[in-house]
Amino acid sequence: MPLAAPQAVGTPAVNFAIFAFFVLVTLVIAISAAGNNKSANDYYTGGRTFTSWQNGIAIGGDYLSAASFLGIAGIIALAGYDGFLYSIGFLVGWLLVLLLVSERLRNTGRYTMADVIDLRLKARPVRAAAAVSTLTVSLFYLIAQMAGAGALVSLLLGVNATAGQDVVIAVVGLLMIVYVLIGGMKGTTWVQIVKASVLAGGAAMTTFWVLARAGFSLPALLQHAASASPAGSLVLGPGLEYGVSTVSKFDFISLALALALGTAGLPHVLMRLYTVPNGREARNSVIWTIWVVGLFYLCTLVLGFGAMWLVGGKAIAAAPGGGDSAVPLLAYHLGGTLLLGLMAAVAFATILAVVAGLTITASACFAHDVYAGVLRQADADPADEVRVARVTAVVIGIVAVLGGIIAKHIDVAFLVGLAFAIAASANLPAILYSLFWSRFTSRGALWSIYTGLISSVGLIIISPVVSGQATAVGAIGTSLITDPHVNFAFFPLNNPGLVSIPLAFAAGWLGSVTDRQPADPTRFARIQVRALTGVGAERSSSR
Amino acid sequence: MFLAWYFLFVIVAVFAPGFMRISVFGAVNVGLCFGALQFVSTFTIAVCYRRWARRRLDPLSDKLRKRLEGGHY
Repeated sequence: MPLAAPQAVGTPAVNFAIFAFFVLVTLVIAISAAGNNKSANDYYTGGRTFTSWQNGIAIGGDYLSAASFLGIAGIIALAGYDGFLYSIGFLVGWLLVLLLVSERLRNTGRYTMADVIDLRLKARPVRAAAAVSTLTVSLFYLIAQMAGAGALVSLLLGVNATAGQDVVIAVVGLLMIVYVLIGGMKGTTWVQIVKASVLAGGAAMTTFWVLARAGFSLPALLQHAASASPAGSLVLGPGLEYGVSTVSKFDFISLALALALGTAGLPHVLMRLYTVPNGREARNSVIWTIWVVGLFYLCTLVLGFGAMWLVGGKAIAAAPGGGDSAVPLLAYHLGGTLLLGLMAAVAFATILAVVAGLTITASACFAHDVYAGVLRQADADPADEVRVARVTAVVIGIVAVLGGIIAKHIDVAFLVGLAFAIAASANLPAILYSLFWSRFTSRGALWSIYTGLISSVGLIIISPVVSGQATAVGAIGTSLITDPHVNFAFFPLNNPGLVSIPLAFAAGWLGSVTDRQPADPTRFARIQVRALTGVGAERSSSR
Repeated sequence: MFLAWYFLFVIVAVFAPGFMRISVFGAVNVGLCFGALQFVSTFTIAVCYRRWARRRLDPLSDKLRKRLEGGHY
């Protein structure tokens, strides 16, 4: 293998030039697309003027984070089939969004997820609870992306020093704040569209290249990969990463549950549904997304096994960033410095765009739900709301940078799995109950959101992620606290979904049936009609 | 339904890895086919839902909407 020492791969100067070029291009796009972002509607939804295919691709751009591109390909390269299980979970989750959530959500809300629950229940504490959980999920997801940025750039720019990585994370944070402040939702959406196209193009090209090397035969590729791996043909079947013990098996089921249910609770995905003119366009954009995401994950399968074959697991594991470096190394092996630089720029753009999308969601949530909805109630001036949103974007950027610096050695795909678990526990039950259950009450909503939030975050804190695992095991590596004397990992699973999701559903039910104030049936009827027809929903601002 | 199909896949993958490793032809085993089927079923459900929504749901929603906007709140 040509990559013995964990040095920078390729020429840092070339990589840097491509990075800089990409950042410049996307900035220009963001600025020119932004036009005048005056009203709250413009800032939050880009004026609701996007078509379904534009928004579908943009959602794909928001969703296909560095975790998908680098993380999943990396897990496939190291653990084989188990990485494929991740991508299936990420894809299947979209059906839930399509069948149950997309149209109804677009028809019943204005800007955020809390709008939907609020329309049904009209209670300030409920809105506050929804906002708290949205912010938590966004922040977790943001930290995961930031950590990925650190790992990626350390590989590509040859920044191995810890301080250097921290600076890189800070620069990513700064850039994303600039995108969001200047571009608003419209600018950010265009950045997503460009990024998703470049990402899909780059992945497709490299996939084609790998397949060409294997003589366009998938079985041949798998055979090569298996013979290059120390585990042999075991990599083609499940169990290498998660089949070690009963605990790890349940851990995997927990993760699978979180992935499949979490997508429909991800705030930055849900908010994107508001950028199209009506519910039907929202439905169509999700179908676009399913195509983009599905085809992309099929590519990562080839890329992962390709990296296993051509680069080799040992070289990948030894590189800075571990599994996340599989795709860059594969690109370097195939196309030398230039292809590596390109793939790296794509990955970097991916992180920037996802981070920008998350930031705008979190800032919208804070300004619209917390500031306008809870603190000021009805008398908030929309212009003030946008100002608050911008300030929040800056604050969130800073918090995410700090979080990313702390969490930078944890596997990105794994961190994202945690964010999905929180989303599935805290957001999804409340959304589904609001839309579909006539006896859902405010108390049920509060119980469900807080139970989901507290149990998922709490279980993570007492899991091996935070303490008790001083030596690296599988994808998660070591705990946050590496001191072997500090161990409060009472909960054996790394992913809390298996426990916290059913708990949140149960709490929502229990809170509702024991509520002394019964649910208002007319409200439920109204939300049903509106979810189906879109009567009274916000229209596109161009009309 | 599709969730049950998905979890069947997950549980088989976790508790019966041997089954997943049975070779179908060459290096392609049951697990890979099973996984690929998940992709196929997702695409199929998405496309079928769109057709169903266009043919059934949209006319229904239009009718209801017209009645509501005609002032019969």
